[in-house]
Amino acid sequence: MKYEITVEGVTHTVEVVLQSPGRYRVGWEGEGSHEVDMIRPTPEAFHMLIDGESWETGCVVTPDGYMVDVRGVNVPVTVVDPRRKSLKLGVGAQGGVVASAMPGRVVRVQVAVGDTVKKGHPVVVVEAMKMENELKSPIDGRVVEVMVSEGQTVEAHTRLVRIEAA
Amino acid sequence: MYAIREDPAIVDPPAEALTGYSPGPMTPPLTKVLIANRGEIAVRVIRACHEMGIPTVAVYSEVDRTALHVRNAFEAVCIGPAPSSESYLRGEAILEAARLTGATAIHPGYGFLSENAAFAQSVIDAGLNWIGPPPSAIDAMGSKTRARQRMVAAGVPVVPGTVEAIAEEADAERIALEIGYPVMLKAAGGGGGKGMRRVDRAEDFPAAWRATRGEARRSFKDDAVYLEKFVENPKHVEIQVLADQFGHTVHLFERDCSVQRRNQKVVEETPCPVLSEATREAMAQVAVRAAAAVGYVGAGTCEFLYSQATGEFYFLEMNTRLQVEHPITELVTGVDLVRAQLRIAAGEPLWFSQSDLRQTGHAIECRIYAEDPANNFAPAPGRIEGLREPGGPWVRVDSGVYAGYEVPIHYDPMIAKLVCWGRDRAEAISRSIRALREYRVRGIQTSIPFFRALLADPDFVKGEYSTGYLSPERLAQFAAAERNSRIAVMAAAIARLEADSRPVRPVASEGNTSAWRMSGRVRR
Repeated sequence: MKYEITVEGVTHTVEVVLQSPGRYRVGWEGEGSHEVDMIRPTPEAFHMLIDGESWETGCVVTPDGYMVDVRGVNVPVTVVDPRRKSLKLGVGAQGGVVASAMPGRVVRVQVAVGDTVKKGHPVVVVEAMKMENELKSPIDGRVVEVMVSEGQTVEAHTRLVRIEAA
Repeated sequence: MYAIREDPAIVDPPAEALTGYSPGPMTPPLTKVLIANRGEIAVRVIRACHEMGIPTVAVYSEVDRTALHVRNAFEAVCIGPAPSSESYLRGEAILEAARLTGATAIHPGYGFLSENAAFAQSVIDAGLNWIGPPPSAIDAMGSKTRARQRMVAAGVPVVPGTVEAIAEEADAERIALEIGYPVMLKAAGGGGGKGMRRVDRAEDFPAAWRATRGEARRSFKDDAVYLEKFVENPKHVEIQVLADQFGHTVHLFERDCSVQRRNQKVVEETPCPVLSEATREAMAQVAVRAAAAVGYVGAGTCEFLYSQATGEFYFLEMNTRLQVEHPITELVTGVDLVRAQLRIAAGEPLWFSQSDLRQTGHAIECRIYAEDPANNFAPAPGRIEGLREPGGPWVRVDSGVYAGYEVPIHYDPMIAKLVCWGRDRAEAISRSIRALREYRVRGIQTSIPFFRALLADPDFVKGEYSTGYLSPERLAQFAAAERNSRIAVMAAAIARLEADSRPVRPVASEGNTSAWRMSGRVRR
């Protein structure tokens, strides 16, 4: 199976093949491949022997991929199946949705439906652990939907505001 | 296990009949202890109580039903909704919980009500044992200005300068000359680094004075300005003290807490790597004198500003409670400070003298926060999907969390403390880095990778760092941890292939799991 995997702003095209239970071959486009022996000691733990090298990692599912723990650093990774990509684009994913990065409480909603915003314009302030986090518009555009109100408690990845590209 | 020395004079006695620990004069017995706190410190206090055979009561807010301290205590009482002001800060709710459970003593931990003299008094008035200093001592050290006046009277060195604003330029100039340059001009209405100006020479004083006053008037609508001696590259060094109810006070040496971010301690170590034996002794004597001056009882800490340039030190304030970083002192002295608090509260005279105490080896603490160093240290609450705590010799983890626990949004982001001991500083550092490598918290971001970079930094290793050590540049450097992108890609590719080949995805690892949905699932 081929996947487009983005980490740290770089997209890798990777082919992964199951060879026998727990054994995979992972190849980079235009490069060599690696033999990977994988076990899951606990539901989120992901222990890999990559060409015999021991890598204790963890894989936690996120809405668009995984949070992969490599040597204690949790790296967000997005995975796209190229076969489904065309479908997704067709739905009209233009514009931007501002989502909460963490669970918290909405302390301020700084825009209303119809407002014109510039990229980087503060949209919503979410508070967690006595710290305020200002969420900004990812694009220039117009606010078409505000999904939360002040005082509301939100989960991580909750969609807060939808903005249509100008 | 963690006692480094087996000194018969300071090792606790066997727990013979510690339940109903024989009370001293006017002291209610420790038949059952209520811990008015949450998180790792509540767990820490519960452990000490259970080792001494004393039953415990946890209190918790509605959102903390799942918290570790509730799971570990013998009994638990819900004291209100999630916000601290409606639960952990409600003294009357805590007293009611004590009445309800028959607890005879209250341990406040740190933070919350621990330095609230009125609450301490209400505990005593309810006929309960307050495991902390007398309310009068809390009160005396409570206000920085009053504490300063009191300390000056007791002959304790404080940062030279004025407490009150100075009206006349000529007076200010004279005082600056008296205390010696460099001096710092501070707007009374300022704070957090704003409204401050450093003056190095007498000839620069008049201009700086007028500029600071003008700025203060414009920024804070108040042109009151006072001045202090400027301490160059200071270290934050503190002394742990213990005092019993009979006027015996000892110190348990120092802790260097200079690694700070936004005035919050991040890493602490003991001994302080640059303190001379003579300065350590002098500082400790001052701390003992300061504690005695306010009639202190129990565990407390005197904080000092120490100038590496001149070797001088100045009293800052006294924390009238157990400190977050108390474990490093425990590891180098072999004294369990929480057990000591309990025994002192039970009315026992100190069971060791100053000469029985020694510092052995070196200890370092890293405060593990649920925050994302790579994203400007934004809070990172959420569900801990997986947890691997480090182990091995001389590694101690004081934690308030577990795998499957949802770190709530309402409280301090510190989830655990990693404390390592070594024969010397180099060993303590390398052991800490090794333990940080083993430490895995999955599902939320933490400061663990940040600490690995920090402890390996040559300037930290040198030990001469001051309170300004964590500059924006260093913060950025340590936050940019090495990322093995290719390994992450391989793990994600295999995980996705696995998921795609399975007819149904496992429900438990969905990213959006909420506490509500989880409890719903349990009930079904």
